[in-house]
Amino acid sequence: MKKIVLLGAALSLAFFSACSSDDHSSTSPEDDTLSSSSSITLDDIDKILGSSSSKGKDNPTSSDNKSSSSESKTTSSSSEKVVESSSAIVIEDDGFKRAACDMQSDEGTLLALDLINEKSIKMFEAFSDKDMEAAKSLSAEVKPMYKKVLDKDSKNCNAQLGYAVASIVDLANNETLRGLYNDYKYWYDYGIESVAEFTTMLADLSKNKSFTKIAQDALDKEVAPMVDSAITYMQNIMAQGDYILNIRDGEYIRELDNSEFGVALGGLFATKAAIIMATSMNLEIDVKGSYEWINGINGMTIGDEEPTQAQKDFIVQFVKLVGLNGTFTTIYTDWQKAWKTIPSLIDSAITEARVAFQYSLDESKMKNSQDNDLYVVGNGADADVSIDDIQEILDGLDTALKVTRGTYEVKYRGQTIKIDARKYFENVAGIEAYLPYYTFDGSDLATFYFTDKSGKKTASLLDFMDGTLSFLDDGEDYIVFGDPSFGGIFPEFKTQADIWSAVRGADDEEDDW
Amino acid sequence: MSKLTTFFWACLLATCAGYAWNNTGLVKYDGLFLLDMEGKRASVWGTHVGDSVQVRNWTFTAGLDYIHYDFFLFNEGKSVEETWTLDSKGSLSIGHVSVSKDFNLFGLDADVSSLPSVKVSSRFYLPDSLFFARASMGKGLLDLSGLHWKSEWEEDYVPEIDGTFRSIYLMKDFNAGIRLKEHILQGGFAYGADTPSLDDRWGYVFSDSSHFWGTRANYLYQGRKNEFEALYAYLYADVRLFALTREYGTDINEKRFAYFPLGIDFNLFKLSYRYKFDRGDVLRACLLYATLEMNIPWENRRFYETLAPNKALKNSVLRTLSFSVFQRTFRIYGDIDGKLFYGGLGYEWNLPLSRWHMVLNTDADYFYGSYEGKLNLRKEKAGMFYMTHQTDFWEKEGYLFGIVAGLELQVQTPSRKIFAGLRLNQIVPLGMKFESKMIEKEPVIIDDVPPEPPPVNPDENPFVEEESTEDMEPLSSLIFRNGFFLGFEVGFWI
Repeated sequence: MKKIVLLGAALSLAFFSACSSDDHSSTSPEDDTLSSSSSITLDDIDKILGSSSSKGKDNPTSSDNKSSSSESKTTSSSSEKVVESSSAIVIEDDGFKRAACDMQSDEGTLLALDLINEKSIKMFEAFSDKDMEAAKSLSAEVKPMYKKVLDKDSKNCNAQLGYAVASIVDLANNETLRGLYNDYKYWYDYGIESVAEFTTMLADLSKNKSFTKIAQDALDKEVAPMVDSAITYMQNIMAQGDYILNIRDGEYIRELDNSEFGVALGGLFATKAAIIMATSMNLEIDVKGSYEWINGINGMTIGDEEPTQAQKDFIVQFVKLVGLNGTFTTIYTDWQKAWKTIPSLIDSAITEARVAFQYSLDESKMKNSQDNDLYVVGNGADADVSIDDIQEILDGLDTALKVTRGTYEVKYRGQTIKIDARKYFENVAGIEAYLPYYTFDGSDLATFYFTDKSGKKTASLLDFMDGTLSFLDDGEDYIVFGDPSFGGIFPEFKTQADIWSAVRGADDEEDDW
Repeated sequence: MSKLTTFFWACLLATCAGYAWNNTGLVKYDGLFLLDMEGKRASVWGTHVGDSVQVRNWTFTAGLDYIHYDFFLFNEGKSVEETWTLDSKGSLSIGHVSVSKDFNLFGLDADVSSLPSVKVSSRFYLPDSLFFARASMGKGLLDLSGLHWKSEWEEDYVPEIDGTFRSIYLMKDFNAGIRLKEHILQGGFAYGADTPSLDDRWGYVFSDSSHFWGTRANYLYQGRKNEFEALYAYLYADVRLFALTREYGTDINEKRFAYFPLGIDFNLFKLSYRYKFDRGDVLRACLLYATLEMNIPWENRRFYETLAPNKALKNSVLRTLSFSVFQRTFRIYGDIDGKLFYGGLGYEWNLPLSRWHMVLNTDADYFYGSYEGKLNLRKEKAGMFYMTHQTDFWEKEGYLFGIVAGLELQVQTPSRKIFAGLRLNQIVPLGMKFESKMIEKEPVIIDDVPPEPPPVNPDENPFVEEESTEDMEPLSSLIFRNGFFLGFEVGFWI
């Protein structure tokens, strides 16, 4: 959980910036060669946009093309490509309009975009040099500038791309996320070594609300809207099909095209899926605001010896949380609709990434089409990655799509088990839906008994805890699951025997638990 | 060492067994122990056993060489990420056979080795060697495995590289001279080329595509007592070393992750003199001056970076994605120039030992070598939305001077047909200084021509690494482990 929240808080950084291990990082922006234009302000953009609004759209070469400009691809590649993109897919009605962006700009817009792009390149350089202060201040400037261009020319590809990227990066300036990040970083740096320190951390991270709720709110209210708008703009760019952005550094030019945009959009979809997964689930593990009970897990083993009283108390509390009528891992009512969209979000993520890599592969077959690409695909030494590399990724993505779209077979202990992962997202009742029958009065662990469907007691949990009975060997005789297919996740499990024979496996390997 | 001893005695026995029907034979052990210090080690040793038979105008030679090399370098960087080990250890067993035939005015030689390599020569000569010429051509395969690089940083994206070096060489050599009584004038020209040969090599492979040529001229006076020689040689080399990852999929996939072009100019002047006393003793003197100029040219082409670690990544997903988020390339360019002065005196005593002979040879040579280098290291970073680069400028200079002392002892039977010898050489450094100044440079936009070295700000204190004689271990602990050569030989000729 901690990792998910940290990931969310650091999302903007991890997603776009390179984490440099380079020590020689301090470069002052003042000395940079591009500094002449970086002093551009929002007012200047206003002036540039306003002064040339009457100019025609037929003069796209007027800009010096120093840092970037949009241009259309000269080949007819797009018509040859079989593009299976989800760009037109609207996952839910999020209030955004989707339409392919426009590559044409008038002279003033082009000039303004060149200047803003230069500034955003500097922003990314600052990120790569770990100069966070410069990066944050540049990010705060860049986002409204792209917004200005969008206000004038709402369909502009460059402005849409710039705004999408800037709004994600600008999360670095978000006070809520910043605070959250610092709180978690403190404990991360602290280096937690004991259960007691862990529960102290949980208590510390929780303020007027539980730490889980704080993180979920931040993801929902601060990150999710930015991700949604970025998805819309990136979809517009992918729908255009042939949009290219050039980045120039001296004699070097790098060209961004669908190979990159597709991966970025796929990443955004995956991020959105992760956000929904993290925010829609009830993850409250406190007992009246306290996390002390978790300390009971200390030194616990299963099947070896009689648990101590503290350990028993821990299990009692744990069963109360996750057990029948427990709330842990259930999906909040108002999030249940979103929860069920997760498989299609993951599907979109994989599909977009697939489009991107297919685009790279197609480009590798056309002469000179990837001269300035971030990576050049080809089998020779004058290339960065091989055709086989891309094919391997595509095959991997195809497998992932199969997993998302239907049942998938996995090998486990010498047998083949069919899994339908989508079914997990149809369950809103949490872990509870997968539990075996039992009875427990909540007072003492000794009152925990597994039962059959009719409620007749079969065995005490303590018998399994102290080793009198073994889950693996005796489980089948005493433990009965309400739904052998676990909500359809294992479609071939029809009976209790199916479950236990799968758990034991076809061979005689030793089990760890 | 026990392996070596067994091998040595086996060879010796083989040679002695062949003594009954052979003309000459030799068993030899040579070992060069150049360095054995903390973090640095370099040594080569080998044995040679050879026989040759002469029947009328035919000469047959056969031999076996066993060479063992050991190289180890530990580079301690400023952080664990920059710390690595490079080592290469291996052995080569090379057998070779050659045949020579002399006709009236010309001769033919053929030499085949198990490298494999082949060399053929033809010789032409007038009676009394008034004019002589020789042309030869050779081709062979160089195959070195066991190149090993390992990062100290366990999470390094490329933690380890195990590579092989493989290249085919071609040599052409022409030599001609005239002899007028005691005077010999000789000139030669040689051309060579290396071409990569990696057809069945996979994984990390190294090779080179190079060509070089050299010329030499020498004058030799061979008097009854005096011998004098003046030599000039020049070598030009255009070397292109590279490293690839090679994989076999639906096609052969090659990715160049390192490229190192190097231009070399080498000049050598040598004067030597030898005087033979009536009693058989010999006095020798020599003087040598050599210059070496190395240039690493600026190379701005894509795919020709000095080092492009992204392309060395093993995992295809990681490799592909890394270009969008974490691209690093390095380009090194600059010059290194070196000079060497070398002068020495030697004396050879011919001492009778009852009816046996003993030859004692001593040398005391002095040398002074210096170098200075100006190197630029351009570090390039790129991600999806940015490209940036920075160039570090290094000034390196240093010198080393000292003595090379040599002692050789050879014992010969009364007929001088069987001999045994021992040779020891030791480099004794008397003074040295290695200095490395680094000036960090701000990002610059680079044009087609290589950029000028950055201006040095006088107020700035550049990072300086220095090593001098005082930093060295005590001299006594270095001797016989560093700069030490040992050789012994047993042979006969009848």
